[in-house]
Amino acid sequence: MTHAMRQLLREDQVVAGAAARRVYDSDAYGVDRFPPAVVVLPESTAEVASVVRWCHQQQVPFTPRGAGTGLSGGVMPALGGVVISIKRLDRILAVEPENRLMHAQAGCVNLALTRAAHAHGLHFAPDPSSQSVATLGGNIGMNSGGPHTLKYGVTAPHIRQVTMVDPTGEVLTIGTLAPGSPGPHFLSVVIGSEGTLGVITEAWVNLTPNPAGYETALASFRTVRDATQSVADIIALGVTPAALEFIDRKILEALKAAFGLESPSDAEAVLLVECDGDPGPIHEEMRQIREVLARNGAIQVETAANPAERQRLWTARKKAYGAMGRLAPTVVTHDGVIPRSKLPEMLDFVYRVAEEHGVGVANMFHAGDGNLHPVFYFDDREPGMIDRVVRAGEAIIRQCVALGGSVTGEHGVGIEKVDLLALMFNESDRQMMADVKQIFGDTTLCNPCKVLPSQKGCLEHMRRWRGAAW
Amino acid sequence: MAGCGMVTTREGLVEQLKSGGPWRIAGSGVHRPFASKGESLGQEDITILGMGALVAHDMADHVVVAEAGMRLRELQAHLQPTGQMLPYAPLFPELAEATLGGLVSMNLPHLAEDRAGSWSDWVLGMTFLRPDGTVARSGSRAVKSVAGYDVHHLAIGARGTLGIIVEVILRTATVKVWNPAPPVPIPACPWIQRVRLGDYAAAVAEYPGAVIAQLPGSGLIVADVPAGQTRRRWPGDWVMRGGCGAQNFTWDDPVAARLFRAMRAVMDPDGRLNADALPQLAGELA
Repeated sequence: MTHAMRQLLREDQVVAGAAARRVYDSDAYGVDRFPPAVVVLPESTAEVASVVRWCHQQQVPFTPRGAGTGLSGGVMPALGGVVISIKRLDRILAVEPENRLMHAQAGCVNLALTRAAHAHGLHFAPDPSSQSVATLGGNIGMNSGGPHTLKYGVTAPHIRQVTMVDPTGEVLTIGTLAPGSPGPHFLSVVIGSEGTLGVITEAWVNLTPNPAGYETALASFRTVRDATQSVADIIALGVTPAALEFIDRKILEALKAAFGLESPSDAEAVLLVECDGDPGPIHEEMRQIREVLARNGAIQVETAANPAERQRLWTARKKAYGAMGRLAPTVVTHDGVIPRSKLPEMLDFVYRVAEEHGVGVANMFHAGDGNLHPVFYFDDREPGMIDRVVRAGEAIIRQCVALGGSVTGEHGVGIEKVDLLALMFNESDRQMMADVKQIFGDTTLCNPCKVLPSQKGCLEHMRRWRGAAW
Repeated sequence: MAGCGMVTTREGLVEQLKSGGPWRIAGSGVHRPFASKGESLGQEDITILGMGALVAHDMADHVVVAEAGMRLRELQAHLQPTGQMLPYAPLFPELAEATLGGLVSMNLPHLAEDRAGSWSDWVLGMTFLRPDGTVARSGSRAVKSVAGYDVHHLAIGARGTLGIIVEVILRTATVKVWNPAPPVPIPACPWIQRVRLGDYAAAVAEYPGAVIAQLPGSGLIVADVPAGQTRRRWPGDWVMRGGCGAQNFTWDDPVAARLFRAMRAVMDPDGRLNADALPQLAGELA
């Protein structure tokens, strides 16, 4: 296979060997692992198409991969074969401020798009926490969210057109440069399809005008309930902050240990709230929000008077994930969604489940969307611990569904939740999804075993990758 | 209020669907001028008008669940006393009487979309009756979810070709200042064009005196263009028409047309629902 790839690409674009097989056997989920036979690094749509055509002819599975920051095992090559890295597809092809559009290759890093648009007073709105490394193609594949999703939406509304190599190697252009679509919007299925319908190589994206101003506040609370009730009350108010982020005491402790960040000693939780837009309206929004925070017993509310202070208030949220390494040798981040009014009771449930299973848990999440990210921290060398972590995680996801929520808000189904999808969708629902997948042709070789359970050839392979890290 | 003999339950609709066909999905009829061809191809009507109940309104979460036969006016009347609304500003006055199923399926532009978004922002989930009578759901009441393929978003603008939409889950809004442009009288031959924002000023200038509605922020131009005539096209634009029979929907994007054919073949292989929905397919399915 390596030899065949070297016939199609330059030698430095084909990577094989033990180190490559280890590096490319998972993403940031890291629990399930399986190595590829070979990794390729194409630099153009035509090169991607030549690789996919070969895979189609030889019936070899292939898996597209961005930066590998995914948290659901979406780029694990479940059946081996070829990993197609889009990292070298990293050119910005056009910036059209007059159309508020940008054309970029899919391997461009998310933040590079915003930097390229900055001189025009514009930015690319999706801002996943991994935006300094995650690729545009990865964001499209997973329909990524981020702190500002609350106001600006996930990735989907910001993508106009994609160039995609379909599973036979044919190059398709899907979507229109003018907004919307006169018929069914096929792009809405491609976005968030987790690389199972083809390899996205380029995209035209919307650029959003930079807000005229920001008002940012960091509120501390004596109880988790006071913080979560504030979130529910802000949403019920009908105000849409640009961001509304929750951080609990365990994360605050980790931040102090890792970076020396201080917070009030009696704070059990903090909320980061940001409004953006024209100064008058956002000042009024923030006034109403501060009333809610005070009513719910906020013990301290810090506000940012200038951009430097805004950055300082954001530091806790931005550095939180990195600080988690201070808590235990292993951390696993979960992802589930609940209706926002259910946040107080759901957080109580999360802490109770962790305690019952003897697992440490910390919480930081996009509270405004009801998108939970309980982080379990533990020592995986402790006998029986992995089993307890998995069971606690499943209990939380089951409760999300029971409360009318979703098994995943932004990490995707990938390989992690392929069996949990059945909690949310019955066989008829899943069959309809499987039928929609067929619109894009025979996709069985394209990132196999992801999103939908019980795919051909996957069940018998599952024991080879499931829990391989342990 | 359901009419005499109208099916009012999901089970009843399944029974009717299975009992005959091919069917043309009917609601208020407001969108009929925009339907392709406009001729029945031997189809009978199957109506969702008897199923227009409010299923749930979770005020704190700003989420409403309604049967697809509910009219827009009825939904707004339910929401209004709670201080919430669907921020949809009808292009034509008749659209206030359209059903949610019809509005979603046709996805005509509305006059506040540049500031309030549109169906793709509001639709969180749907329940479908598939052409074989199977009930299937997509999405959920969560305002954010990436669980599985977004069939409910594909159904927006799909003209009823994926199945009969029987229930929709929508995000609502609290809009404190609501003064959208008023609806305009529906012209004989509405021409709805979307262009890139940079082309907008030049594109509008192509319609001296004939522009009925415009929304620069979303590249929208609505004009009255007689059947058989056309107007200048722009790079990356698209056009939807009404009152022009087979010209209503001419999809000049070959990839989209190909995917549509594939969608029909997979989702409704026997052409049981809205076989006349797209002119380029009507001949093949007749």
